[in-house]
Amino acid sequence: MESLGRFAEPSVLILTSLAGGPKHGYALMQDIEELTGAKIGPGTLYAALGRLEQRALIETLPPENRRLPYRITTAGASALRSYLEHAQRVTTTGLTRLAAFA
Amino acid sequence: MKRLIRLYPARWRRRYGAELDRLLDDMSPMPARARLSVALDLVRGAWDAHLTHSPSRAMVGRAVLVALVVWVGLTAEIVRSNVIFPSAQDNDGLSVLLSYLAVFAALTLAGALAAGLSRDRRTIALAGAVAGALIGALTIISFVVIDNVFLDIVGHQQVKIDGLARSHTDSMRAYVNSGLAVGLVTLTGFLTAAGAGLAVLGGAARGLRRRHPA
Repeated sequence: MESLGRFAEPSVLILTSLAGGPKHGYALMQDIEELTGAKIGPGTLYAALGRLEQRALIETLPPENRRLPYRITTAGASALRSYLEHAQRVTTTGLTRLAAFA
Repeated sequence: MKRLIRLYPARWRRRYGAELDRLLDDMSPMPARARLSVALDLVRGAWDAHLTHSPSRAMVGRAVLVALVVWVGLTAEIVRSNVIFPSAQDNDGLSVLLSYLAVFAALTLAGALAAGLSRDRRTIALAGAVAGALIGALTIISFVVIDNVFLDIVGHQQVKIDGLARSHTDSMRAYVNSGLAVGLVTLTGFLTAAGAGLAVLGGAARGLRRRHPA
């Protein structure tokens, strides 16, 4: 994920959204907004989708009415899991230390 | 808003253009503030796509490589004809002619190399222009260094002595450097334009060879 540079965060959000099932661009934007409360712009979305597709972390499904659904691949699921597990360890440690601090 | 999709490189548009077009349909109508934010995001996205999906960087990279090779060759020739085998006579016409022919051939080659990555004429012209500008600027910088370091040798050239006499300058160093300042603008400008044109020719020649292989 680190190699995605400034697109790492939107990429994690896209993979997280796709972990819930295949989605096209607009459905992804809506799901991410619902999930995080933050809007992801179309330029950022497609820059991240391009990188994820290039790394075979996501793949496309047959188009539906000019909308191309994306789904997470096994490699994508594995990359997301390892990222989230790492983030969870950091979160748990951080919260434990904060509890001791307070 | 959809007009901004045109900012993306053609290769990117072929893959994602229709999807992005549909996405913008889905997002409409948007309030004015959101439109501005989306427009800025699309411009940033287009810039990113040019950097990552377009072969132009690799094309310019090849052109820079060609320019550096030519510059090393030209600098070697400048040192040879001005320092190692200096001549008081203005008899370097053949050397200058051959140097220009070599530069023109290199600029054409830069276009042919760039055309191996993309057939986009504007990008090929850009690669040639970059090569030409670099050759012009770096060559003048070589002249600046060599003429100033070896002024006692270079200053004996008759053409420079005559030029100094005709000028309103009282020192050979100032005369040489003012000439080089003009040269930096004119040679770089000329080679930038020539580079763009010759690179397009080189790219077209490569395209013809591709269509009619020997």
